[in-house]
Amino acid sequence: MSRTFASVTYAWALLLSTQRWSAPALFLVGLIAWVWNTPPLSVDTVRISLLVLFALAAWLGHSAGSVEEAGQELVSTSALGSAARLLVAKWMVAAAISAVFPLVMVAGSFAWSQYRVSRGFPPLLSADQTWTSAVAVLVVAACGAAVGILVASLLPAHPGWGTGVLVLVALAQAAPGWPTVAMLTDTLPRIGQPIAPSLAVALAVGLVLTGGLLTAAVAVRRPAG
Amino acid sequence: MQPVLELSGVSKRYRRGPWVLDGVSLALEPGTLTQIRGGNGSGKSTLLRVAGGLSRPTRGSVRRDAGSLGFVPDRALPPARMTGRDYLARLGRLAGMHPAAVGPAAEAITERLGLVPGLDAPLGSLSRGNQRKVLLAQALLRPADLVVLDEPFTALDAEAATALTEVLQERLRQGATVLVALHGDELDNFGRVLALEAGAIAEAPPAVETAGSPRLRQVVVDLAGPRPEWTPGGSSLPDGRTRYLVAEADVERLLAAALAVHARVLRVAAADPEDEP
Repeated sequence: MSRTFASVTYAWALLLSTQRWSAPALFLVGLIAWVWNTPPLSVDTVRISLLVLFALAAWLGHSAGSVEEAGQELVSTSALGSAARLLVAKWMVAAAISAVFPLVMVAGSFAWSQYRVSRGFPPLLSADQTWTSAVAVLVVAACGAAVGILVASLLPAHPGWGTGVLVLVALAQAAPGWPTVAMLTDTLPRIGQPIAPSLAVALAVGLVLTGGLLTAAVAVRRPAG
Repeated sequence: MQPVLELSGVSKRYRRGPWVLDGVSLALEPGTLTQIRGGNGSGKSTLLRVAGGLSRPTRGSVRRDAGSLGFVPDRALPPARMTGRDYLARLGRLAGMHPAAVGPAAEAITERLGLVPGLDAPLGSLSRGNQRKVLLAQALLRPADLVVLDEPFTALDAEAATALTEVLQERLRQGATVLVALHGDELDNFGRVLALEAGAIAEAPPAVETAGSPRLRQVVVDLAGPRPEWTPGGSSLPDGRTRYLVAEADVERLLAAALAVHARVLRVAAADPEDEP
């Protein structure tokens, strides 16, 4: 457990010291703040922000996956004794950085909605919408970061090609019914609607896809591959 | 005795490129040093990566019976803005060291290797030789079961090279297994020397346990009086003398340091096993 924690703090320190986090994280904060401050605030706000989140989580995942120079990655992998563990640590850091601000916006919007309700206005986000949105944010951040990690592993010496692939995958997320973002946003409840069982299916698909992407990244990764 | 590392018929190629390793078989016994010598592109670095579990062989099998690995690649760029202290602390913790033990261990090993700017300089500001010392320090922070070093003497000054040789000898005495890739004869014929040519083990001369290198020959120096400013450790004897076991290449340096503080030199002699401090 302590080595897992050490690997996460190591990945975090690398991202901080190389400043590879700054561009995607600042874009994420700026775009999410803009989306959530564009009225009307509703579940559609969550849908758009999930699309933005996926793209920027993928960028952060790619930054985290390529943060170490190849020789240095051999050093850290040999110290930790596992390339997979190091890769998962980088994914966790990228997913966590991606998820924090959107989660703050969801929680803040719910608090604002509750305040409005107490003043006699209709709710903007229901409790059901809030928690399902929060779970959707976590799954999309995890899946987006995993895409970035996989692309960094597949194309380690080709940042241009990698960026192109990330843009294409992010755009594909807008295609109706596609996992993860479009599939999830189709199943998020509107106010007054019950939570559909298809939401659980969409979340499960997102998680399975994330696991598959990470497994593929570990398989093709050098060192280890 | 069960080998710490056993490679059986290992071949390796990257994608559809040429074969970098071609049917390499190798077994390393615990507490031994093996040198792999070869020219540029002979496959040394790939062999060491496969041996360290950092690259999978295309064919053949690798069996490792080592709990911990200290590894230094032929080249690596550590994070430029991180200080040496932070870097070694994080890598030590990755390797499972207790946080309280990492700092003193890092101080000790970098002092021995002669990291002149100290541990608080950003790694990007260090010279190539000093960056190399930090990389070596992370591999030698703790007594690893298997130590794999790719061109460890590259860019090191003579004193650091001698210190590294001494540290490797200590690790061997502690039971570590050491695998080193070299261009030349920096370690003379110490341990087992294998030549790698075009990805294949070309020859396997008989093992030579000790060598005639000034870096490897040990000398006993007994001193009395003030402690010199520079010493390679030393142990106090009951009669008040201090005994130092030094590499022959360092004798002159120790004697100069002793004379500088007016210490008395009581004995200078070739070491035998009973002289071990």
